[in-house]
Amino acid sequence: MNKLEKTPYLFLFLAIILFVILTLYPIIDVIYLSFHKYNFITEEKEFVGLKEYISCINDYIFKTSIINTLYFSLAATFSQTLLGLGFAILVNRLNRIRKFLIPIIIAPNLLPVVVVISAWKLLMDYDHGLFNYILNSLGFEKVGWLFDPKIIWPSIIIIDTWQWTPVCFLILLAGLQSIPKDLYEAAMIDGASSTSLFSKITLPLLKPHLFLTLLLRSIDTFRIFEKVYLLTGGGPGIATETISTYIFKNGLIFFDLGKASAASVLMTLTIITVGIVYIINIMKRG
Amino acid sequence: MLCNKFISNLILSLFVIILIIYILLPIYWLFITSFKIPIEYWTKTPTLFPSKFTLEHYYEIFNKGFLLNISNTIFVCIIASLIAILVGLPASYSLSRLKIANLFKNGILTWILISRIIPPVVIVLPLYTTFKVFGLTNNLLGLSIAYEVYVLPFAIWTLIGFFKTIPKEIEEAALVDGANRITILIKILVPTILPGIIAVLIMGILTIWNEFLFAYVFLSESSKLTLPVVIAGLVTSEYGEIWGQLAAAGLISSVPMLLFTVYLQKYLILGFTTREVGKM
Repeated sequence: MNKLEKTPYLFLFLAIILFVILTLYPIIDVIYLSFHKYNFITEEKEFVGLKEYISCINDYIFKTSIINTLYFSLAATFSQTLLGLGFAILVNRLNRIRKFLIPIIIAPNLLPVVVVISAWKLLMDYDHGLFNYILNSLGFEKVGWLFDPKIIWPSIIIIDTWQWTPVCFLILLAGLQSIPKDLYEAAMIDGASSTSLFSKITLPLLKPHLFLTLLLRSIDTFRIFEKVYLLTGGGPGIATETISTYIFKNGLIFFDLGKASAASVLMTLTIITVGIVYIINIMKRG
Repeated sequence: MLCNKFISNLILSLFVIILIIYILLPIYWLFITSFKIPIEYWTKTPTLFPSKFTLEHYYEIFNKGFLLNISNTIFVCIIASLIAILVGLPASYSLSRLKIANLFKNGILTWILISRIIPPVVIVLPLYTTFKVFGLTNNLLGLSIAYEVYVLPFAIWTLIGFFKTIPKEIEEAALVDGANRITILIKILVPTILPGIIAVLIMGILTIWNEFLFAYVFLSESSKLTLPVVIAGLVTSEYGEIWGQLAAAGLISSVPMLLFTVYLQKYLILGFTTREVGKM
């Protein structure tokens, strides 16, 4: 009997070891480093209390990064969820060609992010891209998709939306399919119009799925890194700097580990505040 | 009535066509660029088809050792997925089926979900420092272990959902017959949850095959690089002449993943939904 009781913990042993090394320890390390000034030449760490946090908060690049990240996260989350909802409704209606449409719709999310970036870079190039060629031949002026500070965020939002709409689509399609069909039939017999079907049946019953999609996407978009880092490097100037690129640059390029860690702690705390809602929601289902 | 139906069908078809163009245009553009000669994609009037078909870009990238990058990526995918399954199977079995203190169990489950949320950019730096101490940086095995940050939480989470669907009686009967937990897991449960294992493998491979940040930080030697790092190098290059190589490399690295949706769509969709919202 005694042997049986140990088994559950033995089965978990390796997983726990990996979690400790791969996530728990790094987090503790980041918290520890955030209270220190790090000298990368001597590799000395000097305790400075909250100084790195204060210098972070007072850094206007950090402030801009936060504003940029929030703006991107909000805009991208909503456009992906809305478009995903549209796709899901469309596919749910077109039962006959669903088998053909689903692989096409999810394709963008199967590509490596670097390939997504490559494809859009070719389309959005100022002199040789397809988009500017079309605009030009229609008599409009060329657009600096990837360097005009006013256009660059919308461009990145378009790219991110193209890549991540599939995930919203799949969650929302699962949601739509879980709505019992006879609800609609009963309402139609009562003479309900298609708009009231949507607002009185579809939307309320889809609410948990919509909520989860919004949560998930806001968590993921908040961590945006590759698209900005590879397409603009945070520029022009600091126009597209995000929290992730800020941490990456301070940590791995300027070796200012204290500052990078302070920013990391702030970012993780923010994301966990939103994430707790997600965790509670998911734990309840399990 | 008939006229109404015709119009609504027309609108629906229009939507479908727009949707397909929107999704496929970037992929198509990559595809044709990879076959164009440099003068053609470097003019001011883009063409919808290559007027002169060439394979020079494919030849160029394979000349630069692209095959090595492909095999590096495959290696990392296989090792990391295997670790995830080997470690994740007993762990998820224990969490879903065996008697563990509730506090302990909920603690682990919460931590799994937290690891799903933590920004990779926060983890990668301290992880790199730790791995460096053990000589595991610039090392494909080290990178595979680091990838468990992404793969293991998902594997455990998904497999728990599948274990829960198996009736307890099956195990109990085997226990009475004197089988131990490991035999039960391998002989009885694994075959039953095979779809879940396949979904975990596919999602693991997909995630790792496409991962950029960890590979970018961990690998420095050019013979060790994985595909995303090589392609990123081409993306950030200032020379427009290499667009063809960029397109060719991007296309080659996308094909295996696109094949998933053709041949393993069922498992892929299963994997996607369990990754995001748990088993429904």
